[in-house]
Formats: sequence, C-alpha cells, structure tokens
Amino acid sequence: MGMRSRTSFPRGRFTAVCLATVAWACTTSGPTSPFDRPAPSGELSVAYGKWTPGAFDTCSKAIHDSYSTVGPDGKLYPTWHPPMDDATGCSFGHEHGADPRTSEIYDEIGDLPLGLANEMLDIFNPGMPRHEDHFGHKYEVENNVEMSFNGPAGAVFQATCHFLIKMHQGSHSKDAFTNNMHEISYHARCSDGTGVSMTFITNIGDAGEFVDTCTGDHIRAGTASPPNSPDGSGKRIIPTRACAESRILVHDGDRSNFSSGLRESWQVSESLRTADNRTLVSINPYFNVSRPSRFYDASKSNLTGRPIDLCYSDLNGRRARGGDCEEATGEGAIPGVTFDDPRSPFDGVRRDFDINSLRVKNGDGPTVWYTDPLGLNARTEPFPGSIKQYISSIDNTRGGANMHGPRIGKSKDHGGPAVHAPN
Amino acid sequence: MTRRVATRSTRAACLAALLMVLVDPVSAQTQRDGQWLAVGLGAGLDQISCSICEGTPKSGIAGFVRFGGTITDRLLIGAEFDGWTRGEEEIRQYMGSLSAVALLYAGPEARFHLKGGIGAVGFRAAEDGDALTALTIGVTGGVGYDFPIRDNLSLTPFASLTLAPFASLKFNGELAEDGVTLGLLSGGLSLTWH
Repeated sequence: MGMRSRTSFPRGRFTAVCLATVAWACTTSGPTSPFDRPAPSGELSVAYGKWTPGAFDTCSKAIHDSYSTVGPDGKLYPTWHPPMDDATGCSFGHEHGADPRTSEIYDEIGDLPLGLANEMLDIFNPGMPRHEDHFGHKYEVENNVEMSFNGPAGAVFQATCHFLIKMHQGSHSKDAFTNNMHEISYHARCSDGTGVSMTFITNIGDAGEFVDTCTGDHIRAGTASPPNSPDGSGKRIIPTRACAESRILVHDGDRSNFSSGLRESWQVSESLRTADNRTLVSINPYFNVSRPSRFYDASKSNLTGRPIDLCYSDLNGRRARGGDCEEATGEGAIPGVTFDDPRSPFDGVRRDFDINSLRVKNGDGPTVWYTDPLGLNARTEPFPGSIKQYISSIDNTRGGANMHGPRIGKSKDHGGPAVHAPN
Repeated sequence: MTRRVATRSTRAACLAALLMVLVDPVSAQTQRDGQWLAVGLGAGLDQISCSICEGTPKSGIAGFVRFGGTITDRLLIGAEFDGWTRGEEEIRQYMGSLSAVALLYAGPEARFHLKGGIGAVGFRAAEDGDALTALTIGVTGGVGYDFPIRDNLSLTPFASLTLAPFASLKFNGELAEDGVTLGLLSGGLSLTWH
C-alpha cells in the first residue's frame, strides 16, 4: 500500500515531496502492472490534496493526503484509504469502497493513482480539461469470480477471474447530470489467461444528459464540462425529483419504495481501440448505487435535490413512510437531519456492480499498449499524454462464446457510522 | 434431468439382469460366422478436457450400433457408431464416433473379447440456435463378454472408451478453443446377431 507515514506533518510542498519519496519506496508493482513507478518528481497531481475536512470529519487534511502513491509520471496522486484512519481512528467522512489490499491481484497491480487519466488528458488535449472530485473514486474488489460463457459453451468452459476495479462515480452532486467523462481503472486476471489492466476516461452516454431512473427518458440537464466532451455508449441512469417523489411519497397505508425511486445505474460500454479502430478490449460493467444523496431537480438553482428532504415532505397527504426515512428521521419527527448528516441513510455507500462482458482480442499481440486518456489510438510506443495499458496476448472471444461475469455485492454497504454525503 | 438419466440407466440395468437370468450359457453356443450386427444400450460418461474446460465427467445415455463381417473365428471387423447424449437445463449435448473396429477373441470358443478401432469423433452442445462443436480423429477400445442366447444371438455386457486428444472446439463454426481432448466411457448391454 502506498504512503502511510504520519509521524509528523510539516506543511506544504516539502511534506508532499517527502511523502512521495517514501510512497515510491514502499510501492509494489508486479511484472504486468500497468504502472511504472519512477522516482517521485516532487510534483503533485491535480487530484492530490483536494479534500479538506468538514464539520463532521475528525481527520486532518495531512492525514488524508498521506494516503498517496506515485504515478507513472512521477507525480504524487491520492489513493484508496479506509473511511477511518487505521492508525488514529479518526474519520474522513467518506469512503472509496472495497479495500484493494483484499484483492488477489493487489500485489501485482499496486496502488491506483487516482486521477491519472484526468491528469494525462491535460497533456494529451489541453482543450478538454476534465478533473473529478475526490469523493467519487469507488473501488470494487472481487476474487475468484465464476465467469459464464454464452449458450452451450457454458456447459463446457469454465473460468474464474479476480477483479480490482475503480470507477469514478460521484452520486452526491450535479456533476453527473451533465458530465459523461469519468475515470475508470479496470484490472482483471483470469484463469483462462485473460488479463487486463486499463486506466482511461470512459464516456458514459451522451454529454449534457442522463436517463431518468423511472421513465427511461433522456433528460437534457445542461452543458457538460468540458463542453467538448465526446458522446459515448452506455448511459447514466439517475433519478429525477418526479421519480423519487412517485416512489417515496405515498399515501397512508402504503410504504415508500426507496430502492426503485433512488437507484442509479451507470452502465459503461467501452473499449480500448487502436488508431485504425481495431478493438483490443471491450467491457460493459454496470455500477449501481442504491441510496445516492441526490436526485435531479430542475427547480433548484444547482439542479440538485436531496432525498433526505423528502423525509420531511408532505405532498397533498403523500409522505415518506417506513424504511430509510422512518429510521433516520422517525418519519419526519426528528428534525434537522441534513443531506450531509452522518445520520442520513442517503449517502451513496450501498453499491453493487455487474461485471458483464470482458472481451479481449489481442491474440499474439503485444502485452503493453499505450492509449490516449480516452482509451483510443492504442500503439506500442508511448506518446505525450498516453497511458500504459496491459493486455494479455489472448483472443478470449472464442468465436463468440464470450465470457461474462455476474452481479457482485448486491447493495454492499461500504460505509460506516461516520460516513456521510458528500461521499 | 440427471434423475431422468439415472432412472433410464437403472431400467437398462434391470433389463440386463432379467436377460441374463434368461440366458442358458450351457445349452447355447453362438457361432461366429459371416455377417453380424450388434446393438448396445447403456450409460456413459463424457469428459471434455482443455485449458478452460470444466472437465467434470458428465453422465448420459449411451449406445452403439456395430456391424461387419467375420474374418476368422477369432477376428471380426466392422463399423461402429457410438452415441451419447445428455440434457441439462436448455442445453442438449451429444458425443459420438464413427469408427472402423476390430474385435479379437482368444479362441474359437472364447466369449471374452477385446475391441479396438479408429475413426471420427464428434461433439455438439446446442442451445437456442448456438452450437459448440468439435470433429476430429479418435481411437476407441473396449471389452465384452458374450453370453449366447440362441445359436445366432448373444447378450454381451460391454465397456468402451473413446478418446480424441487433438480436437478443436468451435462456437457457431468459429474456433473457440484448441488443444481439446474428447473422452467417452460407456458401458451396458448389447445384443449380437451372427
């Protein structure tokens, strides 16, 4: 794991450089890790040092920043940390999901430099800056996943995979209403020889819009940031106020259905491709959030409604009844629970993901490729702003028998008593 | 489906036991001469081995049809079609072979015999229009013991093993996996007419 030294915390760049040096010395990476680990340059990534403690948080910024790793560019990046600091027990108030150290491939991959693709995008295309907040980096870890194969191949073929995946999925702000560019770091090692380590920015659905959880309608929400964000495949399914109200505010005698009214599903459909548009890897994982701390509300200046506010709402006799609102506010009887209160159950900690397909078409190809930050223009030599990707020399599509994985961690709770929105 | 296969296998075994009771090996003596035909039925285990194959033997119904001519009273040659099938959920699997075979007896009066052969071995698993298939060369071997029932009829318990070690599996005609070994172990009862 990356940097954890916290015996003293002198401030400023000197601190960061010291931390980077120790982080580099402690960093592990195996022969198929995509992350070269050069000596720290002393520079900080844009993603580094973004978090500062809020009113409910007891950890210092310095403790938070000590969870860092050196990226392949020598810069210092934030990396995974637990919701509460191991050494001091203080709380950060947010979580990044599953502990990557529990992954069977952690020793091979090493710490993930969060925001690497965003950083590289600044170099590759300065006219398309995209930097994401710290809270949204969410890890998924699953070992020995039984994969399936299409149709009759499922009766004969068998493979298991280890997955270590990080998706940037912020479910607390208005960002995802319009912004479809999100960093993903996807690592898999399978018993059939399939292996990928990819980091890039995926364009999930069209820029400037999302898909309503309840109706499936495409909702235009504004201009994306950056405005020239490319449209992509897949979609971001996010609830609107009307959707949330229709399922949560119910008449006397009914119970609120929080699961259907507040579910988000970010459905990635992405591939790494060469300059001549040949697909090397394609994936389509779905990342699902059960209780986000936001829904789209066009009536608000910031477009962001808060589910906890529905616990106090009365819409012509329709109110939130039972479930999360009952537990958090006594169905409105306990006042003052705000969206960022640790007592609010709407904090985005309950998540699951569908692995779906993992297709590699790199039979006899090189295992090291360099792509641009969007996963395109793959070539075997690095270029400015490129990211090193590892792809095993295999064609695992097997004539269309393609392997795919199941849903993992149904509504797994990644939180803790001190975790709260924004998360 | 597994229970159904087991039930069928049990029925076959009961039928075999009944037939064996009916056999009077002392009074009956089958002549091995001229053309002959054998039909067998029983149970089988198939196994498909490769780097990503599940590899677990799977049970099913097995049978064969074999016919040919008598070269000497110790050596018979002919052609054999072996088949095996199994249904699991929506997937139906088949394995079969078409082989040239020789049956060797120790002597003119001997009832125990060995079988050896070579031929084409195929596998097919199908579901909703998708098919996983293989077709290759394999060898077969086996044993049997003739219990004469009539002058020209024998009841023969048999065991047979077919192996095809150099197969390729194709999914809807496209190569899916190389280095595949197909195996089929079957056993049961057959009737042979001479």
